[in-house]
Amino acid sequence: MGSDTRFQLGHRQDKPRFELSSAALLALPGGFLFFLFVGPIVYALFLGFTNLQLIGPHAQRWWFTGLANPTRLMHDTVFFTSVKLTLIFVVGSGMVGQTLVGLALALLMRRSLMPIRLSVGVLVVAAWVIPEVTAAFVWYAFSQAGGTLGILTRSPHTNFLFSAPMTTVSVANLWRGTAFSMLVFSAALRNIPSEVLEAADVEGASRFRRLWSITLPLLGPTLVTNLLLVTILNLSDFTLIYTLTQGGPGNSTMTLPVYIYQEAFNYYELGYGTTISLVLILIGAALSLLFVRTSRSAA
Amino acid sequence: MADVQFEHVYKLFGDHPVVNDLSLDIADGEFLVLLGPSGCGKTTSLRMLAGLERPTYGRIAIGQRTVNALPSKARDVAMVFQNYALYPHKTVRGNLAFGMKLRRVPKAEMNRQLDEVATLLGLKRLLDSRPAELSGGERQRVALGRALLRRPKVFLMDEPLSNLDATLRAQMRAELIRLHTKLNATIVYVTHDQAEAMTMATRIAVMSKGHLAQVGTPQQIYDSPADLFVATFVGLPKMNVVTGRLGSVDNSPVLEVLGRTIRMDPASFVSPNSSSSAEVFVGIRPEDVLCDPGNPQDAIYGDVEVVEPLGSETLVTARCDETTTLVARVPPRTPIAIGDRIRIQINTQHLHLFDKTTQQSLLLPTTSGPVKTWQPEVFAEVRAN
Amino acid sequence: MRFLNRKAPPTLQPTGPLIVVDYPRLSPTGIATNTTLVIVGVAFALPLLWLVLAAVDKNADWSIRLPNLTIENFRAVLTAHGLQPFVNSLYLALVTTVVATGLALLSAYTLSRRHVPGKRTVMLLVLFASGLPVTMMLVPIYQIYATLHWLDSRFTTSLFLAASALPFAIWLLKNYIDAVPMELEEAAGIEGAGTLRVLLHVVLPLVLPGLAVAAVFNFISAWGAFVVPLVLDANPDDQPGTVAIYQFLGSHGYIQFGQLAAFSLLFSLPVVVLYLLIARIFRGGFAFGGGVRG
Repeated sequence: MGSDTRFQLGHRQDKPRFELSSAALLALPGGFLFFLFVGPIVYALFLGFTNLQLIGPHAQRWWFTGLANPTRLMHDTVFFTSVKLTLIFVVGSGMVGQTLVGLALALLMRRSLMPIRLSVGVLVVAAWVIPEVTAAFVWYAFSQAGGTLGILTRSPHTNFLFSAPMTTVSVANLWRGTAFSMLVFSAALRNIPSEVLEAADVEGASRFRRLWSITLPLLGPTLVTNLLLVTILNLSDFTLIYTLTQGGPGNSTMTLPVYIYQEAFNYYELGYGTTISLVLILIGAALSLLFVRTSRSAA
Repeated sequence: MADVQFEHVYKLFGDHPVVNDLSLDIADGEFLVLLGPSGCGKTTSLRMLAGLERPTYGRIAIGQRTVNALPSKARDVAMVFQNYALYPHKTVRGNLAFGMKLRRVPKAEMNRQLDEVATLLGLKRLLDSRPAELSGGERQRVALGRALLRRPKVFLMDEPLSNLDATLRAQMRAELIRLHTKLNATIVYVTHDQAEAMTMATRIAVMSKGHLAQVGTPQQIYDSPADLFVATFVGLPKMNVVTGRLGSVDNSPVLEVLGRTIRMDPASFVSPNSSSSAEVFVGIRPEDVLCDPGNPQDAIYGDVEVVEPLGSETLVTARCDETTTLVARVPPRTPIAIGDRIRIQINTQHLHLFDKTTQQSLLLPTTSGPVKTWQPEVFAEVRAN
Repeated sequence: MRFLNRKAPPTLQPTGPLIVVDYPRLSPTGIATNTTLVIVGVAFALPLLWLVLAAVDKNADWSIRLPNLTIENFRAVLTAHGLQPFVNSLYLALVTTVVATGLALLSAYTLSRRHVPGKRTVMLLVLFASGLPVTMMLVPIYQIYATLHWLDSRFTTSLFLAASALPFAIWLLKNYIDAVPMELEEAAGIEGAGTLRVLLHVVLPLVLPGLAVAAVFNFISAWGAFVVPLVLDANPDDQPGTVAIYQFLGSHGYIQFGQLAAFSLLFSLPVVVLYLLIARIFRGGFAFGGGVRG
């Protein structure tokens, strides 16, 4: 022993290797994502500063226009309305509405009778699972003149998509998206060990006290994650609003995704549409980053 | 079957050495047990042999062939994992047959071998069950069967019995010994359980903090531990360790310990390296602490603090002075109770001496021990001085 | 000792299996809780109720009322012409599911088990990408597709759907693969299995539930995809169900309420069924029990 020193204390033999087979396994998905995901995003950074059109003088011959699009954006009142509406939609309908209703449902369901819990759960989840266009159609029917909402509010001749478009759209979105928060909170509630609550019970804490001092604080991290996810999901929502109102009447429901679509594909302003996209990317990226930071289970 | 060599093998996680200069020759057909506490590097050594980790430095050879660069699938070894690692989606038959299918063993041959191993391990009626339906012992046997069917050059076993209950463990120990004798296979077996090591091993390699502390037959490890760590790790209850002092009386060496002076055989030990102090650690196995009232005036006195009757024997813990307690192994039903003052004698023939700084054993390999022959008179003689 | 009394004694059913039921007391709060839930349930049911009633009503309009029962609406949808959007949706959803799930499995396995330089960063980027809105990529992808002459094709449309679903699928599957004990793969490796065999014979069977969840998720999102096919595929023959419903509504003229309701109902059915299927997998909780201890 010891005569063979060739292997001794040379270079490390156990440096981690990026194996050929790993490269082979990653090549296809990597290339795919690079081409169809990273590519478009990088391309958007360029297109946003051009005068590209879908149809028109700049459909074939288009060029880099520098700060022309951002300048136009700064003077675009519809854009600022759109930002405001997006905020109302995301905060009001999503962060407050869906989150609170979802949390309340999850809490109530723990203490409810089995058949009630089951049927309410199925209904809430059904609203979420059906295709978004179907949900939009259902709400379209619900809020038309002569629709169910009119009958319920004793105003059968009101078309709520005209009389209160943003509210109707927000409530429809609340209806559609609450299930997500409810499922997230239900899962989190199941993970709270019953011993903790029983201990508080033994100490004589009232039901409200237990909820306020134990259950809700324990849900804190879940609440943060859920708020972020709900924001990300609602921020990019297009289908529901577009199907219900196309942004109207008179831009009153023109959130950013709908405005992007309208500029790009209805007004054929692809370049300017991309500029608005970039704003959305920026907000989305910031939120996504925040989400990455809060999910500690990363990698 | 093949022999195995570790030559100056290191494994560093970051800069932290988990295995530190391991050199070990394992002969063909040997049942070698890597023994040590958790975190001593024994499992990492085994995993390097299996090809699941790559050594940082050094050479590993199986059957004289360097395997450092070989992936585990090309090493021709079989491994039994601590938690069995059975494929949960396959039946017992599927688990056993998977390796043979990979090696394209012909169907008839496969069935024959499978049948043979299933019979050997008593798995025949379980062949169509899934792992989740089996008991711990049964899963253990399936894992073993899977290894046997591999017909490897070397069997590797990583604490395979640690998840079994005590009865089953004893039973599997006997089964493994029988298998080893029958197959004459090379087995490298990792455990922290000294009973497993003592009962099954042809040789034990004791590891501590990444170092190989000692290699030897179970009896050698027990009788002549190379350092204080091996001495206290092997043996239950633990070896008593007290501080002693080497001196000389009439130009012949003596050991002062527990208020006694014991005449030593000068050819039996080396002096400690640290010249400044002659203090040494003296190790005494509990069975060498005798609570025999035969020679009262020559004995050490102790106050009994704990009495643990184990049925076949009784353990007595006695306090000799403020800093020293000794554990003695005495025959069952010895009439000793807590609070008793007892007389203690030491079987000085089996004393162990360790350097106080290096903790290495100071004894030289002799057949007779540090004190030539043990006689009661030794005490009397020393006292007379 | 209040909490001790809350639990009713277990109910023993001599003929059936043992059922232990934790009955909530119908205290005043209990009644309030259940009443609130019933009201919420009704609120969620009302919009859907119209859909169901209109689908079987001979003279359906926007109003909710007892239907003049008929199956004519369904019969009208279930014609070759009426079913074409279903076929298109199925095509989009299947191609998307196969491509996205397959690619996700390859990359999730590699990212879970192999040394990949900058793996942490890659995973963070994947997580980041799964949070990005698709809407923002619409224009550039349209421009890219136009340049490549990829527009107006169901296949290329599903490729983009797959790309946008891929990051989340990778993230989901990686978590499932991380949970497969490493020893199983090590054992297979020692037995002589190579990468492909380990993947096919050990990893794949064990992550099947996760794979099912990812596949169903991809399928549901592709089935409901609206704006991507709307923009990328203008060919009327390629119209998926979502776009068909929108066109129906957008025409604003004479609407066949009953038929549209029947169509929507049928169109929602596959995803509801699929969701119920994976919800069962979730509840069943796949155990690696037996294979490895604990």
